[in-house]
Amino acid sequence: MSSLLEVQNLVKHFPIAGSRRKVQAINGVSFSIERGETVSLVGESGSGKTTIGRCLLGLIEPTAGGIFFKGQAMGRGVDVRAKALRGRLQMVFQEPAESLNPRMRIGEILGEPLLTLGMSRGDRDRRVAETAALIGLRPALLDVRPADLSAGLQQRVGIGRAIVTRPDLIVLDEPTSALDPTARAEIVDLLKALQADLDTAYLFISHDLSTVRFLSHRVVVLYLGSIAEEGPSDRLFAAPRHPYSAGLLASVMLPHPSLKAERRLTLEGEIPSPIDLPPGCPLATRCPFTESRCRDVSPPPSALGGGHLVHCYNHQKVAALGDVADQLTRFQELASRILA
Amino acid sequence: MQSQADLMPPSSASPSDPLLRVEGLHVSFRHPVDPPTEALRGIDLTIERGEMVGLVGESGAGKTTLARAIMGLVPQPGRIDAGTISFRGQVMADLGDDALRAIRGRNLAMVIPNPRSELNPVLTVGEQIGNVVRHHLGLGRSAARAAALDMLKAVSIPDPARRLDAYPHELSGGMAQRVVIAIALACSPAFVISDDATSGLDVTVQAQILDLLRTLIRAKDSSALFITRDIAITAHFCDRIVVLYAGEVVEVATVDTFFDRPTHPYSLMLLAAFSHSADLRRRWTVPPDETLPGAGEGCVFAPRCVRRQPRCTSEHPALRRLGDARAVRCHFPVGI
Repeated sequence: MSSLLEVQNLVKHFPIAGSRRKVQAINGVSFSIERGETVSLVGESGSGKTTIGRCLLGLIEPTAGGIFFKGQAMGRGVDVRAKALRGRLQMVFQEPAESLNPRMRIGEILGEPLLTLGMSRGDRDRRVAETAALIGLRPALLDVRPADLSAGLQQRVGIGRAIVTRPDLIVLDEPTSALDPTARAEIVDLLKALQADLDTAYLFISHDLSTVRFLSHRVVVLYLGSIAEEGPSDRLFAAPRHPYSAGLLASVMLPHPSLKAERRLTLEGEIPSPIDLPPGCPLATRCPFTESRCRDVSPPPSALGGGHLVHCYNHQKVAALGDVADQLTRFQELASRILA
Repeated sequence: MQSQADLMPPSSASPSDPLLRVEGLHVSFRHPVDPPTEALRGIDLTIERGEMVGLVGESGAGKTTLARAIMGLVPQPGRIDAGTISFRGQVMADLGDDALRAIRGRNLAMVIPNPRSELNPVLTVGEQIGNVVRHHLGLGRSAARAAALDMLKAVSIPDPARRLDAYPHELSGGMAQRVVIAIALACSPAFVISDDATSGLDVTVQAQILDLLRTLIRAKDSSALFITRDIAITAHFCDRIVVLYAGEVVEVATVDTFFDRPTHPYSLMLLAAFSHSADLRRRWTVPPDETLPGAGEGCVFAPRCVRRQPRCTSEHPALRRLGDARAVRCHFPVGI
């Protein structure tokens, strides 16, 4: 059986008006998502995370490459609007307040995606009530408008609107980054509970590594539109092998003074402009291990076993630095002691 | 040339005064019809020389209002209803506008998020840093340019001589934030407020900027108030932590004691939010449908508190000292 979603060598370049130059947002990205699985795309701004999400939903047309949903090629008119795919793929946006129509009542917002599915009025109302219960929304709140809800509740509605059609896959684009820590934690719990109930697959786009660590089955690390490293969440966080992933993980701060990230590897400077990228590894300008071949030819993936792939010539040098303790797991242990 | 700083009234400061003292500060925002919003309700806070204090709380807790009140910049329609803010022993409200302007930017500086909206789009980076030192330190044009170059080097901007003539739109987000820091620190202020200065940056850049900010503040023996929603930042960059909830200070402690033994139930709830353990969170978080509608007379946190007792909804707790520089505003603090 094929994967739920398969992305093959996806490329998306945006032309710059009045110039022959182009923004190389995505440069040959391949990955897949299985049914009921959470795959996270992590990376900094400009890494192409959001562009990938938008290509998957057919909101923008890829420059090259293939996207296969349940074995069916997407693109050329086949997208989320196609009858067979309607309601199968959904999206949750970053800013809950901006993604909900302020003039609609919550009940209408939740029911709107069902309108194109040909459900009867009674079925729709039942499904909305069911969904409200799933997302922990009191029935009375179905009659209020988005402005009457807190940001956390608004995002619950954003998620409710996505699951109301019982999709196979939801693209979640930074769904928690506009929220306070307490509201963020509630949303993460909700996403986990919904996945357990409905077996929905998630593509979780985020730069919040601590949430990614505990929500995802697999993680794909992006840098300047290319995959740096991918693998099972626990392996990648315990043993990152790409200099970029190692540097990214070393930047994570956790709320305890003893959890100092061990900066064995520091990335200098910032992510460069994605306009007309030079050949070779995109990290070559910031990487401490850069050698001449890195600037010439992009490194092919090296398989490290267990689905762990790294795109770096020098991944053994990163391994030789020794594994930094998985700070996120250490914080869990500390937290259970302090909060007991 | 005489600088504006020399025009300030003679300071009555004694060495025993803390650098900054906020006492009983009340700030409210008036509305045309609705009753005023009380943004700050009796804030007490002292910051010693050379100290870095973290101010944490969720959005709406009053963090930015406090920062603005310290700077003497409470936005309309807000106003200070009661309380005093003294800087080096001098009550800020007693200073005239000119004296206040002389302190602000010179001795008191603020770094805010969204560097792009902070910088003037039609002035070069060099001019914007230079203007601050020319105004406050009375430097001439060429000396100001040299000072601006030194600051760009200090904030580790690559190719500083060229960047001096760059306009803000030519800078990346991290670079623009470095320029904002350079402007804030150009006069070696005694006190720096960072209002979520790194929240819009990517994590690898955020770590670099925070390191830089701390190094520069330490090098100049300044003090700082680090305002953030992210309690993790305070664990690594501050000496003390002040937790704000609904306009009140609910807990104060050194960073080491706070993260090992938090005492206010809200502090525990905040930490639990980071734990990714649903069990731990449930222990410290009241389910949404069991929260009470309003605080009323009692503790402001009672509606969301897992430990609330009848006393909590009827009697407002005072900020109690617990020894070893900690204080908590709770009738039933954890582990005490």
